[in-house]
Amino acid sequence: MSEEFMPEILAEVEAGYRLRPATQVGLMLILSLLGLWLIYLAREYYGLPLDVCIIAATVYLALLYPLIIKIKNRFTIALSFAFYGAAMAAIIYWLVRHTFLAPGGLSLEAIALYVIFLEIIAMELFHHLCEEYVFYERDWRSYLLTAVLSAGFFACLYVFLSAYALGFTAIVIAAVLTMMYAWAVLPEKPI
Amino acid sequence: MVELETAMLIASVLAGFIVCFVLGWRLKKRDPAVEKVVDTIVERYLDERKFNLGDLAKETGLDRPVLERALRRLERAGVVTRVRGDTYRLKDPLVFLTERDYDRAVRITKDDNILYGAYQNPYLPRLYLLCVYGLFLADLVFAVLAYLSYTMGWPSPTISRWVLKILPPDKAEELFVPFLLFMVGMGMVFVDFLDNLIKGWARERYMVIVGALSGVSYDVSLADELSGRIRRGRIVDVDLDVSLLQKLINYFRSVPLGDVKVRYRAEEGEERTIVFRNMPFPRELFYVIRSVQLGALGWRKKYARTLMLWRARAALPSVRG
Repeated sequence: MSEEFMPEILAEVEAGYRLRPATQVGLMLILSLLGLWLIYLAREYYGLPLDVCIIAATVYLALLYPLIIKIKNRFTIALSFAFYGAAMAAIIYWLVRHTFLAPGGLSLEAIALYVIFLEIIAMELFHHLCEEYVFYERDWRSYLLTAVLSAGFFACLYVFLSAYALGFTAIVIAAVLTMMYAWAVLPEKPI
Repeated sequence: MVELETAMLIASVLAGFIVCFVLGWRLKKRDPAVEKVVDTIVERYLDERKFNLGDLAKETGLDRPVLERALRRLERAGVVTRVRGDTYRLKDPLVFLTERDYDRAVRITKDDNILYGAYQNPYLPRLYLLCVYGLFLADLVFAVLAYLSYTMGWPSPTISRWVLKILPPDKAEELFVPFLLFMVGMGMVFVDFLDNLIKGWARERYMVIVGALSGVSYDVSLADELSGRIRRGRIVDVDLDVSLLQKLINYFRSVPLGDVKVRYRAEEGEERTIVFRNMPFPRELFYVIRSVQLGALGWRKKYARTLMLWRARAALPSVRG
């Protein structure tokens, strides 16, 4: 009698709520092609540079993949990590090539803003694509990483806000935003 | 011919892809020690739920450091919890409470076997979709429009002029693009912040647990200690209600949600219905309440290994029960 109450668990707990694996793969392919086609159109009609198209396509696929593919096995998880690596490589390449190595150099404030963006995007993409490794359970490693990232975030934000000559207010604003950032690095469990 | 710069970009993307794929592949390799620990726990400690590191070492034949590492991974996955010293407690796989709330639930139900524990989230999905993601979308659209306004003058140069005006005058041009990226980034952080606030509020206010003997218990106010009670003998009927929106969201969100309605006989004899809104894994909650109502908990033992392996998938995701 008891078995009849747990049929879903028998198969796999989450599978009952998700699209069938073939549908997931099909949807992923359709949406990928659709996105790539739109990027192609943007290149054709608006002259979007090829490297920007490649970066946009990589980031688009990285954002799409974990939303659609809910199959959990060693290959799909490794692929999720791979999309993270590809997206980060593309973003870092773009930042280094077009900003940090740009002729004439950059001001300290601009570098600070780019570093903040990189910190946020690296962390958010990690949460998005490598969910199984997000620090939901807090331990010394999670606190150490959060402290290091937050210190960098605070320093960069303070550098940027200093350009406004706000004095102590700059510290207060930077501290408040850093607290928000720290809480985002150490997220609450999804349940 | 592909330019050198583009070729370098493609090479970087491919390198990032391959390196992280290998990393992910290696991280997810099978861990025989963890599997052995799970098997031993299921075999020996499913009923008493508490076990000692020394006893587990004897039964598994694993060295203490290997065993401790395996238990740490299971602890992170939420399968076991350290009580004190070398003593661990087994958590049922359908318990999604924080450690603090799990202890509270165990204490209040007088050490009952908690079969399911989670938080309702009445704000999902509408508040999330409208406010949280809507805010980020607005932020993103604004950043894109400001960029287009700056580069092409479309839809109107006013947007970029407004952004340039709020930047430090001597560096406004230089800071324009990084500031837009900063705005997009802060939008994401703000969404995370709101998300955490909503979850934090739900945790203080909307805990629901199902105990093998105590039945269904739930918080009814902010300062409540599970005063809402439906004893198992009073459960008349239980129903699962997943709306179209919830079904659609379940395809894409990490945690599936749905409403569970419980009809019960109140102390005064009249029948009442309570709806637990947006419960995680609602089908499993439905099955758990149903089996508690009928006193049929045989499934727990029969599928314990499958359930534990599912829950411990962060520790060993490639393993199937």
